[in-house]
Amino acid sequence: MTKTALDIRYRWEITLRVIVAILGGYALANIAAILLSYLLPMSKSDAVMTGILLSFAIYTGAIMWVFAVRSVHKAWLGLIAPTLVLGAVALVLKFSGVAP
Amino acid sequence: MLIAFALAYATCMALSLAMTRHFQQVWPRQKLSPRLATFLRNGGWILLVLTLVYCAKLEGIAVGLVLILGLFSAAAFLLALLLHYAPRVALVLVFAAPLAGLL
Amino acid sequence: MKNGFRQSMSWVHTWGGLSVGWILFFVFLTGTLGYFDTEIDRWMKPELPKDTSTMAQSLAVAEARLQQKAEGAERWFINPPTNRDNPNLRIFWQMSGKDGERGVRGNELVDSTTGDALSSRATGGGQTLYQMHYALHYLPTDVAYWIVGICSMFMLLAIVTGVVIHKKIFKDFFTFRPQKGQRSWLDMHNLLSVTALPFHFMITYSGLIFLAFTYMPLIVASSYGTGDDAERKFFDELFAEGNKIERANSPANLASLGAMVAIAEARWGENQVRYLDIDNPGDANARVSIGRQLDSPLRASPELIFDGVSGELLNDKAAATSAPRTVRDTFLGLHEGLFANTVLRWLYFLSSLLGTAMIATGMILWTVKRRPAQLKKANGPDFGHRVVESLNLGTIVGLPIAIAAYFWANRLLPLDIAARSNWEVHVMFLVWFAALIYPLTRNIMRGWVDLLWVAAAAYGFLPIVNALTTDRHLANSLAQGDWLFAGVDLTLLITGTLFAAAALKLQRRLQQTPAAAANSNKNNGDNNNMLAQKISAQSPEAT
Repeated sequence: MTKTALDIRYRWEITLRVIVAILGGYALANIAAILLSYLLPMSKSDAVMTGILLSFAIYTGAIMWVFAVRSVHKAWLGLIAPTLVLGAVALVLKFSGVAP
Repeated sequence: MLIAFALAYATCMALSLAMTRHFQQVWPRQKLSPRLATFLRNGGWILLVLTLVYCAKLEGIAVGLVLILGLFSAAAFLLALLLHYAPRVALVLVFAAPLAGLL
Repeated sequence: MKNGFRQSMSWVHTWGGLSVGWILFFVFLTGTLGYFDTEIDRWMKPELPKDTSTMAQSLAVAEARLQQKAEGAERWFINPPTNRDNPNLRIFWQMSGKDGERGVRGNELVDSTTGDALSSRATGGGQTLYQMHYALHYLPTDVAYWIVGICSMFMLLAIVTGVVIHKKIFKDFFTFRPQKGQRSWLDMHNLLSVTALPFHFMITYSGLIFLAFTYMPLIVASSYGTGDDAERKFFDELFAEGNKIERANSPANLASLGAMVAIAEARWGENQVRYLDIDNPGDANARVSIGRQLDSPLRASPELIFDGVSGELLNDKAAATSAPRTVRDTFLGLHEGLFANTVLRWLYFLSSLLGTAMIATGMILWTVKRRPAQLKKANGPDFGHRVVESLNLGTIVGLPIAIAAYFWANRLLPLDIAARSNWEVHVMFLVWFAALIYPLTRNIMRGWVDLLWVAAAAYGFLPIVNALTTDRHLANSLAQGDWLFAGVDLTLLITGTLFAAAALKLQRRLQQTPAAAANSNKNNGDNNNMLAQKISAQSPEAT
């Protein structure tokens, strides 16, 4: 059976979602956890520990979101945008000396 | 411990019998009236609280919580199998388990 | 995805679960056995005597032995035989290292009556099986940790998406309808998942937390920087062990350990001493930390800290620390279940078994769902489908057979061969490999019957092998009230019986319709329906 154009497009979309979910999700989970660890009012090691504890939940949520959302485009943007924004905030905090 | 299991099992029995599907596994020819269903359901929740209190008294609240979750897994799984393969046994066990525990 | 939330989550659940299901089955099954790792250890070392010493005896013997083997060590550690985790007296030591390097370490099981090291056959025991659960085998640990971590992440996804897509989770809570083909497999998969859902979620999330520092190094680095020093600083701050006391390099006798233990037992009760941790023994700056038995999921013990020379009580350290550490300790404590007494331990074992079966039924469900369409294809089932079916059989029945083979090897391998403990493990993996190959040679349904019978024999005959090769067999252990040995033998017998029941049931179903076990190309709709029924009739009790 020859693969129809729709078939190929579907497979490509799935592949993209998987990549975005796994890599993008990991990035978002880390950035969010890092920012959280900068903001939490506890000792440095405790804050880092808390970030780590929550990171897996964020990662899971992100992956589910990538597959739930309607278009791959939206999935990709919806992960990258918050990652960049949160990352920027974290960087600002770090260079302004507020964060460790 | 047997008492704890008996309580967990009784809870599962009550909550399952409150559903027509399972009521009719035990009594195929009877109908489950809404009043009986509510009674069984409420009874189930009360038994759940009793089980938790009993386990907490037995092992402290921390271990008690872990224990009750384990007991419910065992009881619910067993009940589901019994309800299909031996519904009368399922019912008898509700009374036999606490008896065995008290002996 | 276009089809809607539930459907896209269903896709994630199915394909995420399938892609790592066989590794997860391995992790879950070895983890299940891990709850009885010490018991399996003891069963695999039948030469070890039962320890009947008093605390005073154990301490005296331990100290003497440590003095003999590790004088001037940086650290001594004593595990008296006061709990299920340590049925025999165990000692550890760590010598001082040169130039910041870690010193030589050693450990030994000691005979509390003679004071000599206990010797037994060379075996990895239950510990090795348990360690495979997170470190796999034949792989560098880092690689294994990442593989297990990725699979655990998939598992977490499978659990959460599973709950999301289960429409009638409360209504179907007690529902099981066998003999209905695909519906029955789904019922059983759901039942196994939902009844032990708190356990499954806890075990998966806590599993990730166990190795979280490996999986999420960037979060540490973002606050502490990169490199080994940075990491060490983080651990020092997090675990706040307090300043490690330096050696004074002036010799001083170690105060009476028995007296310190007496103080601990006066505070905590009898048999509450779990370990003695001795820093700088024989030095003026010796410290003795005595740890209490675990009585809650919190994986840390309250400790009493003594001056090692004067015997004076310096500090009463509580187990609880900061909130994040306590959360971590609780998760890890729940995962390991070290605090569990016998009943709770069996409940842990059962829940874990339900989880293992949950994974197995999920994998089987995948093939059962697709089998009718696959059999209708012109050239027979797709390659991918046949691979999944073979891997399913080879793992779901093959791995249990391999584990039984590990126990057979323990009893039958000659005691004096080189690398004996390694060979026990090699046997296990060789048998698993054979079980993975076998389905390729056989009609898949008949393959299931064959391997189920093999499993029945592998487990059922083990107690007999035990009786023929040792004297710690079932008759003796029942007579002596040795419930550890009796328990293992009885569990083996029950497992064998369950496999036999499954084999018999499936065999009967296949016999009822000769054409049922078909790999045939014939487009036979009736056969496919009956086939689906045969598959459903196979007992879901596969582990």
